[in-house]
Amino acid sequence: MTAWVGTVERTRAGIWLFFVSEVFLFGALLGMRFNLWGNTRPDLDQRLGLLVTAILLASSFFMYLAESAVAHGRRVVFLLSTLVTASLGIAFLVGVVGFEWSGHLQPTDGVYGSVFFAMTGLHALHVASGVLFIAYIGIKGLRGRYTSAEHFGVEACAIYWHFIDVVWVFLYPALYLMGTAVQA
Amino acid sequence: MESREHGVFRAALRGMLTLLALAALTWGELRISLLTGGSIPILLLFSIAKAALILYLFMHISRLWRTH
Repeated sequence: MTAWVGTVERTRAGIWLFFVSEVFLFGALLGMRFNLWGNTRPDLDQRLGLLVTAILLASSFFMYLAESAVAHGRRVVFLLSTLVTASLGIAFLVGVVGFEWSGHLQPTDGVYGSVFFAMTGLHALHVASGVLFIAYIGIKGLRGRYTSAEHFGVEACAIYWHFIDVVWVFLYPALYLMGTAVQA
Repeated sequence: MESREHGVFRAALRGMLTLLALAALTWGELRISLLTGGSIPILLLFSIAKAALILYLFMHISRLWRTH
C-alpha cells in the first residue's frame, strides 16, 4: 500500500508538471491570436459555439460524477457517467470538426483561418485523446479493476478532462466573442 | 461515515450547482460580448471566473497535498 501511494504521489506530481507544459503551449496559441487578430475576430456561428461550450461544460460534470461514484463504490453510476462523458466529448468533436470546420472559414483564409484551425485543431486532438482515455478507464471499470480506495487512473483521467474544459473556457471567448466580427 | 448513496448524492448536487453557475456565466459572457462589442478585459474576467469554478469544484486541487 505504501509503495502504491508513493508511486501515485510521484505520478500525480508528474501529471501536474505536464499540465504546466500544456499551459505554455495553449498560452502561446492565445498569444498568437491576440497578436494576429488584435481586437477583431472572424464571423463564426455563435449558436454552434455556445452549444459546443455547453456540451463540454456538461461533460465535466459527468466526469466529476464518475470520479465521485468510483470513490464511493458505486460502479453502475461510474460506468454510466463515463459513457455519458465520452458521448458528450464525441458530440463536441462533431460540433467543432464536423460542423464548424465545414463553415465558410477555411485554413487558407489568411491569419483568421490559420489561427482558428490551429487553436481548435490542437484542442480537438486533446479532446479526442481524452475520449480514448475515458474509454480506457471505462473498460477497466467494467472489468472491476477500480476500488473506492485505489482508482488513481480515474482521478488522472478526470483531471485531464477538466483541464481540457478549462482550456476551452479561454479558447471560446478568444475565438468567438472578443473583438468585433469581420468577414475573413 | 456517510453512506455510499449519500456521498454520491452530495457530489452530484455540488456538481450540479457548479454546472448551473457555469451555464449562467457562459450565457452572461455571450450577452456582455454583444453589449460591449467584445471587450477583451471583461471577457477575460469571465473566463478566469469560470476556470476558477472548474478548478476548485471539479478538479480536486486539494488532492495534490492530501496525506495518505
